[in-house]
Amino acid sequence: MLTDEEIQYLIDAPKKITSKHPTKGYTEENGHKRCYLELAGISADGKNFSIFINQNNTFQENFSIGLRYKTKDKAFGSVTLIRYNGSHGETRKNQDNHYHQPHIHRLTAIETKSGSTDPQEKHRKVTGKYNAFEDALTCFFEDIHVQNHFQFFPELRQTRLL
Amino acid sequence: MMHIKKVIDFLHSKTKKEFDIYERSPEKYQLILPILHEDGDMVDVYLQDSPNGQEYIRICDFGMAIMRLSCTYEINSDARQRIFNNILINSGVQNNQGNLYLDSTLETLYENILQFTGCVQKVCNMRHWGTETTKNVFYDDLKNYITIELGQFNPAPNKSPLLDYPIVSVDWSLTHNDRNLYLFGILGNNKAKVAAIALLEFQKAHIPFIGIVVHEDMDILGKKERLYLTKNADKQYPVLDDFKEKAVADITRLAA
Repeated sequence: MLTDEEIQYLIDAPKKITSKHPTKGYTEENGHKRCYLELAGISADGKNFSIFINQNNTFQENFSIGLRYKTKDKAFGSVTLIRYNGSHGETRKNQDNHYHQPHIHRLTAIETKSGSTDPQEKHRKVTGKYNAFEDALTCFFEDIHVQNHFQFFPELRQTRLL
Repeated sequence: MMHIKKVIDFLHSKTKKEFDIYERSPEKYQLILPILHEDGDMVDVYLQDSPNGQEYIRICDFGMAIMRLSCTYEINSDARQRIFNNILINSGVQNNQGNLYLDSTLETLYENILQFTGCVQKVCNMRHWGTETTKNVFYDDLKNYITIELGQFNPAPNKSPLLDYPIVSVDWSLTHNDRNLYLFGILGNNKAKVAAIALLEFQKAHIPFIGIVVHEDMDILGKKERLYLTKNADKQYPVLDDFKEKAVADITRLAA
């Protein structure tokens, strides 16, 4: 069961991408494009992570980029530590009269200690760090300290537009 | 074309304005609902014109449910595809290249929206269903078939043929013409390895038997596991339906 400090440690731990599926670009099927990355923690004692990246074809602002951690606990398996979402619909209008904003989901100790072996990232916070998918990707890789993402996503080398 | 104002007024009257509609892009209207996923995000539901005529409104999700599911779960086996199909069929929802949809009249729109969101939530939570449901259904089906249809072969569960090695057991022991048939139900690589080891131990001990393997889905096994079983079992059935179709005739012939 992860504490909030352990969750933060795992998010902050420097990582490197070890493989990408598909090796180039994204798979497109079922109305969205996606890819999947395997990562290793550089200093985090052999810890293994994965990243899922999904973007809807019809509404491109609807995307989800998440960091998963492979626990050594058989009951838990893998858990999603943090997930960067685009604007996909809210139940309340924002001040600008829109129903959607980018937001970040995060796993907390409240969920890991809840008794569920499949804890969900229920903590949500609206963010102004990104709007478009590519900005979110850049922001995500920086925030979770991935050191070699340009090797797999060379298009992100362009200057961020904000 | 759908009269969106009529739809909005209808839903507001039904739900006391708990439902709202937002034009996300031209003629694609997102429903704003107090219906959430486990992580607190709103369930993605949209309305648009139905190609089936003006009297219908299409409730759909533009692939959002399957996209959400794919973050943590793949529909990559026959068993999972069956569960997915059953969820849709039982909810009256259809699938067009990942876009789940249900065509509704205005009069039944409210009920159908709730039906649709229920289906979406089941799809998004398939990871809960997948392992346990598939496992339980397969072994239960196998047990039911053996005990009901193969009674003539004196089925006995969990038998240990090696008296000095009781940890090695078979799922089902059958007999015909004084010959022993040892049957294993296989779901997953771990069970395949356990069965292969058991078959090898029986061979080493030189006990006469006929080894039968019934797979939940042979295609999902690893190459090594399939090889172990092919080398050591006398008869394999790639799926349970195949076993049900041929079991009586095959057992009679094998143990003749």
